[in-house]
Order: sequence, then structure tokens, then C-alpha cells
Amino acid sequence: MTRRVALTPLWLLVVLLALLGLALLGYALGALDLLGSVASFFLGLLIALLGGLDWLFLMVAFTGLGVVVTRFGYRKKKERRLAEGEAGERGVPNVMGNGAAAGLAVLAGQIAIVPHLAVQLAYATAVAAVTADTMASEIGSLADRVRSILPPFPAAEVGSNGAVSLRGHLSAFVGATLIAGLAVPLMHLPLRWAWVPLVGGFLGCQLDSLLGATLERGAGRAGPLSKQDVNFLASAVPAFVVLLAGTLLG
Amino acid sequence: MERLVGDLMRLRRGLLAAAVLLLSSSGSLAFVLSHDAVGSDAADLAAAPVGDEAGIKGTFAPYLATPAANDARWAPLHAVLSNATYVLLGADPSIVVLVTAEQAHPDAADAIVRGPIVLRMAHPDGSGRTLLVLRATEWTHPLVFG
Repeated sequence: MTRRVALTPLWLLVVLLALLGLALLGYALGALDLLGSVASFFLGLLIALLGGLDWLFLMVAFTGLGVVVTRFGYRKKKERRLAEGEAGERGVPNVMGNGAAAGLAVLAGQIAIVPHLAVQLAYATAVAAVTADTMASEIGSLADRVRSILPPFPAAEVGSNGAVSLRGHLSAFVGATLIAGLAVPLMHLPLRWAWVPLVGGFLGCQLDSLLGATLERGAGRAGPLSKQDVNFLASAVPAFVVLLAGTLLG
Repeated sequence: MERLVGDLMRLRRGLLAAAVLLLSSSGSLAFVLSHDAVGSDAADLAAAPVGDEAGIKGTFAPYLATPAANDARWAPLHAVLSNATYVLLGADPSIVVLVTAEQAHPDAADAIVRGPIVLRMAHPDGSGRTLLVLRATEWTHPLVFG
């Protein structure tokens, strides 16, 4: 374990330069639209100020992975009309859908009765869940055979809400594992607790598919939840469960 | 239309260059701040658990054991001291920071010492201060922020 450094004005300058650079990079690479870049800047600032620089690195890792997997097999996704936005870009709803739960976990750290470890685990779980979901969606949409997550698991259309595949499940597991593994050195999360964001992240991805199959609107189907609502709930629910359990168990 | 696309591409290339410049500046500044232990504070170490890696900046003077140090209360301290030990000058009055190393470091003014915390206990002199011992694995000097 290493000691955290205090966020002095010079370290704050490092954060601001990095966030501005990342927001510009996201926009220049077409990974974010203009407002999405602005939203990611402020979300990053919230995480850096309340959680610390180390916590921000975990979110940057998710963003980087998201950009890579969005570009992976882009032509095939475009042919299948499954690519995100016009050029794979992500706007404010996507930024908030993927980042709001992590932001709320950081805010929960300001509540005195919530143990630091519970906040660490909730934050890592939220990031692991959105990473697992992004990887499952982007890589799973390249699969040729998919099934509905709902019993009796009939064959489903690739990219439809609630459609799952072995490739998607494996990608979700890899995504959650990567974030849980990175949380150990980046957030100084004790190794013995790394299974929590791994399991929470993977289950969050399953919840995303379940909500997608039942409550999400789209493709001519009515429903109370948008895609971003589902993304938010799939990361916020496991993060909240972890936060609650961590607080109650001390 | 082609001109618009061309302008957009140029704008994105410019933004990409600006982004790389900002990220490099941030990384360089972070490297210097990290090397110079900016933001590390002795008072913050008081609550640090044994085994934690820590970095501390300041001026160190050779540590001289007092005659009372033969008392059994000092035994845990003696057990962790190496060949050369220094005390951090001007630290928080509630904490005494000792740095112990295998080799002597003659240039102990305005130094940065890093290594694991090997002991944290109530000072055996009964003053109520916290005694913290750090085993030096790296002994450097600030690049910019002394």
C-alpha cells in the first residue's frame, strides 16, 4: 500500500490539465460529442476532488476500454446497425448513464457513517458493472448466435434488448475482472476484497440484460426505462447493495 | 460539403494535438510533484499503519539515543533500527519521525526519503507523542519543489 497525497493546488492543476486533455481527446477521437466531453470533465472533477486522483484513473481505464471495444469490429456493427451514434460517439446521457452511479458512490463517501472500504468497493463495483456491460454489448453484438436472457431462453435477434451470448458473458467477466484487478493498485483496494467488484460488476451486467428484456423501451416496444436508465440502474443497484452491506457490516 | 469535412478534420487534428499537449503537461507535472513528495505530510503519517509505503520530505539530523534508551520500553524501537538513523527536524510536535537506513546519508538537508513504515508506537519517553520509524529504501532530493 502507498500513502495518498493531499490534493494541493499543484496537484489540482495536474487534475485539471488531465481532465481537459481527456475531454479534448475524447472529442477529437469521436468517442464523445461536445456536451459529452463537458459532462465527462465535470464528472471526472467530482471523482478526483472527492475520491482522489487514484480513483479517477479507474474511470479513465473504463473510458479507454470503452473506446477500444466500441471501435472493435466497428464495420460489422455498422452493417448490423448496432454501432453507437453516428461514429461511435457518446453524449451526455451515455456519460451520465455510465458514470452517475460511480459519482454517487464517491458522494456517499462524504457521509460520516459510511466506512471508507464500503465506498471504495461501491465505486469499484459501479465502474466494473458499466465496464462489463460495455464490453458485453460491444463484443457480444459481434456474435452470430444469441438467446434471450428470459426463460425458456429462445433464440433472439443480435443486439436486441435482453439478448445474451457466450461471447458477451465472457467479455463481461473479463471487463469486471480487469476493473477489479486495476482497483487493487490504483485505489489501494485490499486484494482480499477484489472479488466484490468482480462479482458485483458481472451481476450488474446481467441486471442490465434483464432490465433490457423486461422494462426497456425501444425497437417498437414501449417501456418505462431508456437505455441510459438501464445502464444507470445496472451499475447503481449493485453499487448500492455493496455500499449498504459494507456499512451495515462495518 | 468536402470543405466542411476538411475543416472538421483539421479542427479535430488540432484538438488532438492540444489534448496530447495537455496530457503530457499533466503527466510531466505529476511526475515532478510525485518525485518531490509534494502533498506528503508528516502529520498525515501519524495514522499510517505499519507496512504502508510512505514518502517524507524535510531536513534530517543524526539520531542520538539517550541514556534512558536502555530501558525495556525502548526495546521495540531498537529492534527495528539499522546502522544509521535520522530524526526529521521541524515535524509536527505531536509526532517524532525517525528514518533508519543501512548506510549513512551525509546529505540529509532538504531530502526526500521513501520506504515502508516499520514501527508506530507511543514514544517510550512518556511524552505522549507518536513515534514513527520509516525504513529508507530511497533517498533523493527534490527536482523543483524543495
